[in-house]
Amino acid sequence: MAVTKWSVSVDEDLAARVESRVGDRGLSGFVARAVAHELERDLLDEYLRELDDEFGEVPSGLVEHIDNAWPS
Amino acid sequence: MAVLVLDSEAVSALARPHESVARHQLVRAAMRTAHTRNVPVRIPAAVLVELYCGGGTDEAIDRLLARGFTQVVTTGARMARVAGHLLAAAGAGSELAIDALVVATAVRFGGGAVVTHDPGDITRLAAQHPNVSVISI
Repeated sequence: MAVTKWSVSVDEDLAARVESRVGDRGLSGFVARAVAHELERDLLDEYLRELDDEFGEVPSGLVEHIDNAWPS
Repeated sequence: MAVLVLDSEAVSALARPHESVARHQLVRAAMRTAHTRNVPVRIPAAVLVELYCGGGTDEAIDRLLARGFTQVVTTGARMARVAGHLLAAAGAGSELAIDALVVATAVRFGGGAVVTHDPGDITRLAAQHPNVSVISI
């Protein structure tokens, strides 16, 4: 798999917490998973907002009803 | 980590919103809860077997998958084993293989909810897994 090297700036305290959690070697994988998760979540929100614009918002009562179906 | 798993009817409802307005709204509601819970949406590759029919029907599915808000989960040996064990535990045969792969996807990712038009079979297959629930559409 081809990879791209990024240079990014991260808050010092956050960087220290991540490093103590995953170490230097696991850093790229950890960041890649986090970024992929966040990107997907962002695209999901964008998609759902587009559907809201096109078809109208889903009634909040229905969302609440469905939310109750998740495992506790 | 948990997941929201879509069965073929759920994906179909998203790809063809005008065919069943009520079902489309239910799937949207389920995906909204997934977003709020910070849970990813997953589609088992086996489900695509029921959706790709050719003759111009594939494009709507492809467009949906290309949006990037979900990932297709392939069936490897581990997933197949989980699904096979679910079938055996339920005393079911291979006619429920795709449903078993849908449930197995939730099991493998640590539980979550399955959006399905076939709550009976999914509930039966998930009976031993209290961390997997069913959202009926």
